Amino acid sequence: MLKKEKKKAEYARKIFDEYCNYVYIIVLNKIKSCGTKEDIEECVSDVFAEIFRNTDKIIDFEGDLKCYIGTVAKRRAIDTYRRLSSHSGRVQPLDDGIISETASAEDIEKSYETASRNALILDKIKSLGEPDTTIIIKQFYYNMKVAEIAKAISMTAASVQKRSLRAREKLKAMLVEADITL
Amino acid sequence: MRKNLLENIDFDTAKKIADEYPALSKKDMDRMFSASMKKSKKLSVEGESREKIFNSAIAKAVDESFEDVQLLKIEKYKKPVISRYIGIAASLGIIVAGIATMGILLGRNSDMSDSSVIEPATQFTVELPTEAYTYSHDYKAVAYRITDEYFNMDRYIYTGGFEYKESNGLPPADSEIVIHYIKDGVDGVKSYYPVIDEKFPDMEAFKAYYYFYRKDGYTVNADMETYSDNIFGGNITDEDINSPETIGEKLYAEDGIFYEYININGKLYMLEYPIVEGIEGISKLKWVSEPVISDITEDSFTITRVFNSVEDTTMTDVTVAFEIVWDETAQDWRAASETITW
Repeated sequence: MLKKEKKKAEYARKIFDEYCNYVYIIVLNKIKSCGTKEDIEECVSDVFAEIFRNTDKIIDFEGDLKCYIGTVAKRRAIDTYRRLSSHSGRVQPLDDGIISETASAEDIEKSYETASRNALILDKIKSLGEPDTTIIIKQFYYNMKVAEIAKAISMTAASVQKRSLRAREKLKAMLVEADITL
Repeated sequence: MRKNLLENIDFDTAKKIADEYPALSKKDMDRMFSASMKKSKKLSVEGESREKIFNSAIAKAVDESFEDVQLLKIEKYKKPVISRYIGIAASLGIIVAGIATMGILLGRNSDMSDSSVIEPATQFTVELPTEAYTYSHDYKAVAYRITDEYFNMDRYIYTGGFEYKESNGLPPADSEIVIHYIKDGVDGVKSYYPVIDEKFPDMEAFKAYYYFYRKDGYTVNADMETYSDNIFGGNITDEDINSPETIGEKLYAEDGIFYEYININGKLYMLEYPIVEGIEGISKLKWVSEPVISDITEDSFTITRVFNSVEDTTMTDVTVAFEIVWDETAQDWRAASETITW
């Protein structure tokens, strides 16, 4: 019995280490407009609490774990977004980010287009070169402040700010060239 | 750029970024992991305990067959999407009508009373402001005046729909209950629809559900904070729940959406308040386009204008088309109807 519990805890940690940043990005993407850092962290904890409750099933899960965890994260983030929106009084856009129970052909095509577009944008960001790539990713995908980024990559805040501005200009030009308008 | 880069991030891109550019420190991850483990254990323990208490409460509250008990299982009702839009349009109309009536009553210096009248009705009556203004054929000025007023009023905006008895997306006119009321000087109406949630087939079930949570030792608001699904919020009390007449004005919350229930002759009716705007102190919508005038005739024209949220960058533009008509009695233009496209 204890051995089983230990195995479950170890597996939970493994899952967490593998998917924590992933869940964080999904949650952040949904609730950044109305949630604080604490709200995001709490929502991430809620997602993993739900996943850990199902560790038994996940151990034997043969499907795409990334999609399963992503879906749990997205649903929980939408719940959190609604709760925070209703408390703060922000108007909630209808059907925003709500995952359809059944995807239509149009939805699938749209998802494919979005994924292709996102992949292309990420490639362009990568082509900026370091440290600009890291700065842009931390700033836009992790919503980190200039001071936090500066600390993380051992640069001054002013340098990060300057690099970020230049990198954004460069990125914008690259995306326009690739026919992507932001 | 920030908004668009993050828009609709897909799972593959999110995973790629997470793997190649992890941003969370070991300390942050340890903190979140330990919080997740704690919550997971708490949920497991509570899940078992709540199930026991729920079964016990159901057994005591409902002396019915096994099939009836099954009806009380907590399941989430999926609202028809179209009803949401109908709800928005209808509700906005009602509120605007309420405020317009307030204006008229105040203008006449009439004596407001606190009496409420309940009467059945078969349809909505949507009215819009009919106050008199100086005669004008300056369409643009009329457009600004009418649309600017639209967002200067304190009012509720319902952004959700109702759960109807019928599932065809339309309200069952014969079973709708319209309450006419006067509150805080506002003369208004509210339309309630029969509750069809399986967890609330009737008042007895509602009570059983209520007692289940009361016995679980949670305060109503704590429940709302802790759990996102199927919990009581607001301030329903033991006294309310046992009132033979009504539990109106009391709220139940689910997923941050508020419902008002009313008990009429033992049948449960409900009204939904997904978001309360204005009264809660937020007036965060603003016009984001100039009014566009079209379809001009001798005694009518159309104004189209777009609004959006002041702060919520994820909200998409909402277009309102006002049908403006010439009011002979008031000798001025007035909005006869409005169509909102979300």
